[in-house]
Amino acid sequence: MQIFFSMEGKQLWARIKGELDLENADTFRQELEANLDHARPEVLVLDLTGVTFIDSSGLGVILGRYRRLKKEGGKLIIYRPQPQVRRLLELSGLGKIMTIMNENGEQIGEGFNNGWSAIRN
Amino acid sequence: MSSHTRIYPYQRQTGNTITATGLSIDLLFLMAVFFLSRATLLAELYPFGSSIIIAIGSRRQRILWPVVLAVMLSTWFTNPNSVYSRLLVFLILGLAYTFYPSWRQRSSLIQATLVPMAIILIRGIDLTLGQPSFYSWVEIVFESIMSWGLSLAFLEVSDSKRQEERLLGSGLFFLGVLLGLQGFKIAGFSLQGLVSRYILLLASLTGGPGIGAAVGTALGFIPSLSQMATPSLAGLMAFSGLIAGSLKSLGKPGVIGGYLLSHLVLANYFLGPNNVLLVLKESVIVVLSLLITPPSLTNYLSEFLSQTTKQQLETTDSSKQEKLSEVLKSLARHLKYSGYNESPQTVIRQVARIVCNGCPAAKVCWQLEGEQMLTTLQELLNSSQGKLTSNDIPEWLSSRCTRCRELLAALTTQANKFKVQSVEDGLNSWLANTFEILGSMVTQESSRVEQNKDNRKKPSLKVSVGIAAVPRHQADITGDAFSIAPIAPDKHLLVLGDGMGVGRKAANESGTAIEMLQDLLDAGFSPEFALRTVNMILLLRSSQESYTTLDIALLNCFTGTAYFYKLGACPSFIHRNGSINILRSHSLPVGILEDLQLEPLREELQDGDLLVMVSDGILEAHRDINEKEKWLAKALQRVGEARPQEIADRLLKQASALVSGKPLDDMTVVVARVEKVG
Repeated sequence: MQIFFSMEGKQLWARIKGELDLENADTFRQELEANLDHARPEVLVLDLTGVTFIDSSGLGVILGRYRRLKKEGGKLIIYRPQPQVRRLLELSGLGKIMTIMNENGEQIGEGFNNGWSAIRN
Repeated sequence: MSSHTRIYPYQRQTGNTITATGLSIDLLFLMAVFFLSRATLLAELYPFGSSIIIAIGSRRQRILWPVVLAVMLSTWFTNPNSVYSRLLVFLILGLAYTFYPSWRQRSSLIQATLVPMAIILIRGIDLTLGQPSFYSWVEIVFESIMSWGLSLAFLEVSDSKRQEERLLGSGLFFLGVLLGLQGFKIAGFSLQGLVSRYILLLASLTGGPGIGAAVGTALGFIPSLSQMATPSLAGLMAFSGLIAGSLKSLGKPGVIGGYLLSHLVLANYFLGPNNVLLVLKESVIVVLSLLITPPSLTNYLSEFLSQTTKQQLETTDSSKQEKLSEVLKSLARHLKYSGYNESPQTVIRQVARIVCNGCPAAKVCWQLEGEQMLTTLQELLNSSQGKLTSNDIPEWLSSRCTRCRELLAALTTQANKFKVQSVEDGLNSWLANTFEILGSMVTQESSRVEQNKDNRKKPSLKVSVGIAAVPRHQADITGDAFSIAPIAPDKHLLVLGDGMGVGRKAANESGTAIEMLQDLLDAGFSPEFALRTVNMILLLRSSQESYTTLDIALLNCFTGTAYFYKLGACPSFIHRNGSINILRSHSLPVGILEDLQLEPLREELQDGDLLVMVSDGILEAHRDINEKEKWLAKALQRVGEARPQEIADRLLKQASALVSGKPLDDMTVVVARVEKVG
């Protein structure tokens, strides 16, 4: 996993490549924290274009940063997640509290509706 | 504006018709008053007369003068020293209550104080004009103090909420009457001795050894109270009460046997040989009286005595519960309204001053239903967030209030003015809810027990379950946890949790969450409250970010209604008559954020339905994003009527095959079949 940070105005961009799983969750957390402490951004944008897999540990790190930014009055945006990653984000309820955007800067709605769907013979 | 409201129910005046029964009771009472007034303590003090006049003047105005007359007659015939000044005291007390009826509204303490004042004033003047002596002054002061105490005891008989105080007042009255019987004889037998012994037998028969001994001791001291004599009778009476009461279970013969036995053994020792025969003759008369006493009287007394103890226990318990409930609700209120500069009551009072001033309905709203108004407006104020509409006002208020618009405007203004910040602190709000719910539960506990007694009918549905689980590749322990358990007599809980990460840490996290959830639901808390509590506890106990997904199904086995709570959990599947329904709800997992949004889903389950809950390892086993749910749905359509455990094993086997036996995540399948009972 690799992370590239850049500051664009008051937005801190974190471009992540690789897999976000148990093995690199600690590194992911530490790097994000260090850059948040240093840059003090109003918005943290996680660019997940290059993320091919995310597990519960990766989701935990994202939720932890969301909690921090919310307390500080900031915002967390997830940018361009791949379909399988986006699916997990929404399954975990993250789609309800965070903004998920596509490459055009448009907010992506929930891909999965709550409630029932039926598959019949 | 007052929150203390009192409603006095309308009572029809029944007139002053006196029935024959009422008249005979009054006559009996006057007779008792006659004896009471002649009761003397230490041969020179007569405190009972003035006390009973105060009590009757305050509580039974109708018979005040007959009582005054009975007391005066009794005193005249007894002829104690300073008889005229005593008669004047009684007369003045009677006149005080006749000409100043408002005196009755005063507290018992103030009314009782009238007695020592009258005694010291009138008898003091009499003494000063006659032959003053130190001894006489001491006597007057002692009599005043005793009269004051007795007046207070008699006044409390009709008013006190405490059973002990009522018993004390009544006991002192009867003790006085017995004292007054001193010296009266019928056919050579002492009237006081006969009545005392009869009461002793009755107390032993109805109250047992404890009450028998206590009553015996009190009665045994009576002769020594009025005369300077050694209280030797007390020992005999107490012992007789104890022995007679011990044989209570044998009924009247047992009590009589015990009483006679103790008298035969000890009368000679306590009373001397000259009195033994007389006492035994008295005992025979008393025994015969007890034999002809109707069972209805003894049953009534025995029920009264047992009820007293029971009532005291119940009152203590319920008052403790009420106090605890009030404290908890008060804590909840203070936490809930912590975002205000001023207390919500102050804010509401300001609103009422602005809006309700001059309104004809203000009296009804604020005096008769003040508590309800205060609570409703506080709730509106708290939930307003500056956006109140007429729909927010409850119907009972909007139908009555002619100033609804003004009320809304004032509430909105005050809310904006006083609200510093919305209560966003999740811990604060959870704690407030916890206190509020616990407060309600404390008072509802007893009724819940009663309800549970009625809910003993058998459920119509049952659940059979199969579970299959495997840890991720090269791991020893799975981070998934599950629990299948009945909750209360009517509900069945199925819960599958997946802790963040893998291995023992994840297993601990999910296991703790499920254990807490199950305990809370079992204790009768609502699923919403239970989940918020689990969320908050997990959040508080760990400084690191970790969470647990929870997939919950709560089935009512009587009605078939099931509620599903999915917190970061995978979809569930219901197989019904060949078709598969997929249930999705995307809420956040527990243990990572204070704010938990719950979106329960409801479904009516039927006989034969198959419910399948899975952890994400199962769905993610298929690599194609479009097939993750479909493959399981298709697999379910082929299961037929197999047992739940076979289905769970089969699904797990298929999922393992999809990852070539090397699962990337823990995999768990829970299969439950709903079936009719019988």
